[in-house]
Amino acid sequence: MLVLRRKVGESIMIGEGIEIKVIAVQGDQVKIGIEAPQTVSVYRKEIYEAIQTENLQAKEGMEKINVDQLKKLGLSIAAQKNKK
Amino acid sequence: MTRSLQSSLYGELEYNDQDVYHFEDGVPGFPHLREFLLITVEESPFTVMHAINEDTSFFLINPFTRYEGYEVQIPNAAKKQLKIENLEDVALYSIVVLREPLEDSTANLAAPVILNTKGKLGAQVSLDAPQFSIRTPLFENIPQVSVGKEGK
Repeated sequence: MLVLRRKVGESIMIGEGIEIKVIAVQGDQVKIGIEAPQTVSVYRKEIYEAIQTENLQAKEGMEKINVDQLKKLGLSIAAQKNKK
Repeated sequence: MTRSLQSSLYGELEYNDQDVYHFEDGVPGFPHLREFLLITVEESPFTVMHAINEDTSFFLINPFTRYEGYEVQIPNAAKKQLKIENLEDVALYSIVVLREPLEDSTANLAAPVILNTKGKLGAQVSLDAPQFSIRTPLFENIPQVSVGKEGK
């Protein structure tokens, strides 16, 4: 991993389109500004990891079910909705 | 062109090239999967998202019909990435995690799959909306369905 020292107000460029700027430092918190092309998704890592974990579990769950069970499941969800 | 793939869920699955959705970034956890089919589950308003390149699939629900009050502001980055010009061309689904026991299953309302149905583009988008949980319970009551390996 590349490690750089930056002061408040200084930036790092990643390629030509992405700029990461240190806005403020307070105790153990760093406020970071990110300029990136609109097509680049920026996530907090723990949120991205949580989505990854859910997706891996979603795939695993599907491996334990067959189409008939999916249909029944779909119907039971629909039925529950109608009861409301 | 008509093609087919082998699916543990469907056996041999036939599809046309023009039905394939392209996910430029894959989906989190599966960055290598960039092509998917969206298959409506017969006799139900639910959908299976099936990868083309490997035997991986996800169960999707329409969160708007399942969860009253669910509202989404599609982030501009997603609109641009998916080349969304007209909201009529947008479909949005939540990925369901089927858990054991089944009543513990959840839907991811925080990061829905957003599709451009006209341009056949898709992405899973984090909404950055703390009011929606990544693990929203799917059921209020226990359904009459059993899920297990032996049922396969």
